Amino acid sequence: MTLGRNAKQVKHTIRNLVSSLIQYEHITTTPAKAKLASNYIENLILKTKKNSNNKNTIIEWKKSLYGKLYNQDITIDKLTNEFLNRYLNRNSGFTRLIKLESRFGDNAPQVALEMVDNSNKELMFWYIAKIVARLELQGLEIDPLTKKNMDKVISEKINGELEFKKIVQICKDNFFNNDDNNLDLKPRFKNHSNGFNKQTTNFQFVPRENNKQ
Amino acid sequence: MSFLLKSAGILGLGESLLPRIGIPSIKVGVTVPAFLQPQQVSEESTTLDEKLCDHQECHDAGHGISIDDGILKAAPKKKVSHMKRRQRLYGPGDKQIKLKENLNRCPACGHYKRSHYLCMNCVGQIRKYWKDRDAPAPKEAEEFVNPRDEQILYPGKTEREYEKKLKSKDWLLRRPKTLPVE
Repeated sequence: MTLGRNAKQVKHTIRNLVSSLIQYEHITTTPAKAKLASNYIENLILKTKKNSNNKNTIIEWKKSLYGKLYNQDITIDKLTNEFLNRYLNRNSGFTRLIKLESRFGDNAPQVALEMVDNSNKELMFWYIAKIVARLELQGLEIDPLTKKNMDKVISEKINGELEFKKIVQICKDNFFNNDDNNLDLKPRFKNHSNGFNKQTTNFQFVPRENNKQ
Repeated sequence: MSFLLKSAGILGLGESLLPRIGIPSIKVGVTVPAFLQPQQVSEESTTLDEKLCDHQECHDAGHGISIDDGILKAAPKKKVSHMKRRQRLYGPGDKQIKLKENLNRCPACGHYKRSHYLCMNCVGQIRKYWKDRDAPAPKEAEEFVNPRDEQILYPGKTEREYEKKLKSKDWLLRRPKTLPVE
């Protein structure tokens, strides 16, 4: 079967991955496993949304979740309370896959799997905050591509702009202090495009329509 | 071929008996097809009883060397030459390291990164910050009124050189930072 394991083992790996994803909001795995896990958790969130309208069904659903997750004390509570509020306006796309460089040792391709709009560990959010921090330190304007990415990341988040400002400040304080990262010693970026791709000028963020429940 | 080379017997008896004893005989207990069994050449001087006796002797001694149990196996005829081996292993283009064309500039730090992939230097910085942030608070040291008490309770431990080396973690394999663009 998939992943070179039998059905039982695959089930357990997915269950393990998903429960730790719910607990920590951000995990690193291989892309094959990440895709399986993201499918599984999207299905779970959709079903919790569906069952949350009625009191009886939500109780039954919580009971059935015991057979689908591990660390049930933490994960079930989080899934049925926190995730419901966070993803009220979303119908799909609760997770995000980010490609990383391959692993040392066996050179396996790696991927970061994270929950969208989480407040604890959102890599995309932090990465874009770091870009903005660099631009502000150098006294440059925010270029269109970064502006688009910023809007995309902030728009659905609770207290998005405030959080973003906080993290930009953290990036300024921590990540540009070494001589390696010192921006005064480096040549400045000549233009907004990244120097290679020419199609980075005219992007615009189109907010997602609020879906009816 | 499986020979029971009873070398001791051959040496002891001398040349006169060589044809009789030197004839290879199959070890009992191993099934060998008839056509692989060695054919006897000279039949004149030996009778069937003598041959049986010899065979029995060989079997009783039991110290013969058996090779491959009578089965012929495939083996290379010649050593592969230096040139041919290197042509096979390192010649083909798909086995060599390829140049990466899909390179970009990381917008956060200005060094090279692969397009559609995140810059691992920035990711490492962010992850290290998270690790330090989420780490449990260090235990507070006990305060003693009399410093003598602390000396008795915790006499301390001398740290060896290799322990210091292990703690420094210089031996860990780290991902090198890419070169800056421009």
